[in-house]
Amino acid sequence: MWIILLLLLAGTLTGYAFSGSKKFFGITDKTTLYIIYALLFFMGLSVGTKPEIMRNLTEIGFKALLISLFAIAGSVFTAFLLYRFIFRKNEK
Amino acid sequence: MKSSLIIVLFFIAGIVLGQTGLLPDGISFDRLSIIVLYVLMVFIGLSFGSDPRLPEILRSVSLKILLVPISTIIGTFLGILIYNWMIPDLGLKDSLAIGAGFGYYSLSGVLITQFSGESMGTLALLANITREIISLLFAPVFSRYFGKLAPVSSAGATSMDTTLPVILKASGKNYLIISLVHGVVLTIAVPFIITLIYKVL
Repeated sequence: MWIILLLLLAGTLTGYAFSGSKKFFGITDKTTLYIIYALLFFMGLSVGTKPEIMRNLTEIGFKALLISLFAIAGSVFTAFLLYRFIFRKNEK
Repeated sequence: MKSSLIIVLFFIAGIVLGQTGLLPDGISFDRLSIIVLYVLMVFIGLSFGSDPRLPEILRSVSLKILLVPISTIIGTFLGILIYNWMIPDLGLKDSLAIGAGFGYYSLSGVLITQFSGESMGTLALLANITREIISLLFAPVFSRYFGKLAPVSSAGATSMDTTLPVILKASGKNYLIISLVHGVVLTIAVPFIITLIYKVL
């Protein structure tokens, strides 16, 4: 799966070579969105055909909410410290 | 925001079609998904690299501004570690990888599906959608009580696009560059950190 990172890097460098072109960005940005639609549709298909996931969907949803709350709380906490001790000083 | 809704609708449409049992047995979307995922990675790179805002964003990167995404990464993992300690029902790798989506739910959902199966992928998708929604709704609250960087951190990778307007409204227009740099760094960090978690940890 390292190939994922390699492809990402190759794409970014190629894209950067075209960074003057708004048209290039517009087309690739739109295409990226369509590919994401397709992948999420496939992901839905494979989830929909797995009864063991469908049965637990409420539980998965609840767990997802909990995980996101912990992730947000942690990052808001460190952001608070960063703001309080480093960023706020320069603002005043 | 409109495209986020369409993305979710495609996922739901897939589930509904999968549920109907209309699909012939034995079709495997796994191989196809991997190929499409490879193409996606190239295109994410292409549009990321050619983003007209990127040169200006790169110019304005400073060590101090980089502290913001670094703080978000550390804080997110801190929260995830506490979750994992209190509710040890997920493996450490899976829970850290889900956290490392930083709100970038489409990519993290698809990637984690490849590394760890549909169940974890779905959990990653839902957890990171929830992160985006909470960040959209609570940006003013976070900014008011936890400082002006809090809505940026909460938004994760989405601070450069979907949640940018609410962040600027909550914390002020002079948080534009910070939000953009933060979003760019985390967007690029998502595939790297998720791969590292599964391959190295």
